[in-house]
Amino acid sequence: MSNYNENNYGGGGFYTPNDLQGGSGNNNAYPSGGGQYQLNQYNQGNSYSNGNYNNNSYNQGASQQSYNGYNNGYNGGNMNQPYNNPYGNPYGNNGYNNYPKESAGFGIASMVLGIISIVLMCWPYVSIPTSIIGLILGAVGCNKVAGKGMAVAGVVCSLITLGIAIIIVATGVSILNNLGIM
Amino acid sequence: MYIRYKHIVPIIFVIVCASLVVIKLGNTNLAKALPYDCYIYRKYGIYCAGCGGTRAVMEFLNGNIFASIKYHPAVVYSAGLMIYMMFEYIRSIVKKTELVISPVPFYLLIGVIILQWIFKDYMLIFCGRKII
Repeated sequence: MSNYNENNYGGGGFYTPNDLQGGSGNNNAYPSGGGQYQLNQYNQGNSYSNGNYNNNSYNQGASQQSYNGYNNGYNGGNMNQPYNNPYGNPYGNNGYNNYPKESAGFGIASMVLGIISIVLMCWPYVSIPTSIIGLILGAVGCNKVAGKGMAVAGVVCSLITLGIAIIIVATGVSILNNLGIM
Repeated sequence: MYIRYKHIVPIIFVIVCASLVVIKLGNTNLAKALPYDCYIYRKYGIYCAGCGGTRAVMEFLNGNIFASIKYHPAVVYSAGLMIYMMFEYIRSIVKKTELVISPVPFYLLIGVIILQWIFKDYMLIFCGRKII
């Protein structure tokens, strides 16, 4: 529930410099005097709404009023400049952007090894190790969200290459058997 | 796709470019330098997925782009892909952002490799025409 309306920022309607400075502030920083600072005189057209918002500085553009010690970036009335809220953006922290970014390293590695193995499939000394490694990395990458498609592509390429390379090795062994070498 | 260790992109780019420069300046014949020929073609008489790659690299280094595409289109495509990745890397450095590269060009690369493999073998087996 927001206490904000056009004339009141909420928070009780009164700020004391001691509250703002933790009790050790300079009361003379505010021209209104009396140790109290009434916020409802600052109607700045700000659409920002937060019931617990404590705004400690008022730079109102043409009036150029600045209160030393409380300038936290509020630019009253100037909507062209971004609002710098030292307490964080209450609208941005909605949970959608807080997930950890996951790299697709396993998927990329699996796909690259799959491509290398499928190009060099007629050289079993290279294609068999690369396809086996690509198959393992692809199997790991398939369990991750990031790079799952690439991991699947790497697994497919590795399986194709591995099958053909095994056929090559098997026929090579049979040739050697026929020649009586093995 | 988000790449955490994005500095690996220029490292790979420099290694590949340096290798190509060494091959070009040394007038190296890759077909003789590589320690193997295609076992599948020798044994079964059909092309493998990498057949024509060596000749495509040599033609690419000589500036014959169309001949390189004819031998193995993935070589020219890979060159374009590396330029694209370097462009994205430089842009991420200039803008001070993370490196995010679309995986679609890599899927297309796999598709190009498999399609040219099928096409060349189709032309060889059913049409009796040697592409390479």
